[in-house]
Amino acid sequence: MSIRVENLSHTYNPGTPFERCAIDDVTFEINDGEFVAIVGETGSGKSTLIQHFNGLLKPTKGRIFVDEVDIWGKGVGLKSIRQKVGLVFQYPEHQLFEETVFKDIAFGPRNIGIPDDEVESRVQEAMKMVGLDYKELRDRSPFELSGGEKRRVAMAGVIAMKPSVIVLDEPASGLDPRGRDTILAEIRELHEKFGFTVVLVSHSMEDVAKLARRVVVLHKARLIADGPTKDVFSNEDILRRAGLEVPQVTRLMHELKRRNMDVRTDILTVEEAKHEIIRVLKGGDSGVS
Amino acid sequence: MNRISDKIIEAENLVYSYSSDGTDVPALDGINLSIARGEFVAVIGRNGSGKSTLAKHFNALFLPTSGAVRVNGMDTKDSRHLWKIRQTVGMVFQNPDNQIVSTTVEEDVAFGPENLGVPPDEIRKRVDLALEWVGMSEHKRHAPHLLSGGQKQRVAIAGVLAMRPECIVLDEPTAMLDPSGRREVLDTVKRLNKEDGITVVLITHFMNEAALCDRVIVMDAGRIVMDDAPRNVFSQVEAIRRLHLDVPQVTQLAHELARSGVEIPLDVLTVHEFADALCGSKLGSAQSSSGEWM
Repeated sequence: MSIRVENLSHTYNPGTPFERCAIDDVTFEINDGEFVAIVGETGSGKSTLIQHFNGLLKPTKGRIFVDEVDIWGKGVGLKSIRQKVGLVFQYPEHQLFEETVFKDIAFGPRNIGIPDDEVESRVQEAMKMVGLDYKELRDRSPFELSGGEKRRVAMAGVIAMKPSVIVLDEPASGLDPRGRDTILAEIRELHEKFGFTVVLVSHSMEDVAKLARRVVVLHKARLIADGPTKDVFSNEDILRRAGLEVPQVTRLMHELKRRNMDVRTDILTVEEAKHEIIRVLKGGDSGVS
Repeated sequence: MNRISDKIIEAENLVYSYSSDGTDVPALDGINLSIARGEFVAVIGRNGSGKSTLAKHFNALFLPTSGAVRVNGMDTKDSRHLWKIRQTVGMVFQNPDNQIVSTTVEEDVAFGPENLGVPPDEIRKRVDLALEWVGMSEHKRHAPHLLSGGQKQRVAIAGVLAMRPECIVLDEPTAMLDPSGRREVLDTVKRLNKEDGITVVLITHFMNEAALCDRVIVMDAGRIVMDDAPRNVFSQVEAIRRLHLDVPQVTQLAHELARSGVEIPLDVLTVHEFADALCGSKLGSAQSSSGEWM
């Protein structure tokens, strides 16, 4: 499933003193099966952008195509678009409301008229995908679960709609480092093992570096960079302009380079940094590219 | 009233339990701790380890089930000291949107001192000074909800500063902010500590932030399991991992390089320290590590 954004602009409160352009002429495409990160400062337009992907917001100008269908075209049902593109908002656990985990996850599928036995198998499957034990948790109240578990319940609620694309807004924020690693590993699995197209919105360049192969950078409502993670992260100018921070190891490699050590700077993870430093210390030739 | 000691906060055999399904669950299980005036202390620990519960004891939002907490020697259980304690230790929470009460920035900052019954001209002075401290003076007549996350948190800090506290406790103040917002808030807090001598207790999930404090307290299951300089805490990579925490990337890298036979100290915490260790310190020695919050 692909999402194509064509000359998209969005203005809040047009024609009032509070008029604000949140997205300004943005064009790009998310291809089927990709793992793309969208990064940018608060207020750069990330949340506005992703709410266009499933028709929660209507473009002021421009068009959105989901699988080549203009979602605001005549005769297109937004219901089917919302089922294809699932959005997991920031702190999604704040949106839990049912008395049991099962009912909460089943809410969406039931709402679109899925028969009971299929709802049950969907809930079971969705819980498995996010690492929740069905038998143990199905009848518990979502409110007595831990923060990380609540977040998984909310994610399962979106997965149970069987979307092709999952868009996650800051899925790891507020979790401790282990909780963060676990939920990110599950998101990676949703992509690698279960084939979802994943769009990740994040402030953590270290997380983005670990997961996404492609990064889209927004700055002041405009798209200012779009490319493979390595390329974008080795462009310090773009990142500084966008108010972002590269991972600490990437900064380290730039610092070593500044001190005349002949290291590559397109390094994103601790593992890569280790190999590169060992290579240079051993006086080896050019590294793998 | 009381002795002025170098300890601003003390906890003695602090236990705090809440009841769940009729049984008492200890959220804090025998905490002994003292924080000296002027310290910059980080508190880290996995979700549910008791960090926030502990912090809320520091200004009597929570009271011990048993044991005691003293602020400037005042027992938090003694209700006569409540206002004095709340004025001494100010709290800043995670979500800036939940802490804003007024329609303009300056009214928001004035809210605390107004409640303390501070005279109007004194309030004016305090508000102006507090906004200056956090670099938000030019926004004083703006509506808080139109500010960025980092700006809102700085307004929240100004609101606490206007109470003239001796200590600020910040409970994950940067969790909801982007990198530049985080930097704004942390630079502000660091400056208040270094230049104005305000004691800071910073609860955080960001290990790079904790690495730049004077002291790191690590909590697990309601107890303090480590309490030391960041260098000594984060060089214990395995122990930190077992506690569901992490170490800065450069510390992890140093450990992995050492394992592969590279000679490098295991207690490096910042990019500059690492580069100094690997390249010799000629070039970078003048550089300070401040600003390496990320």
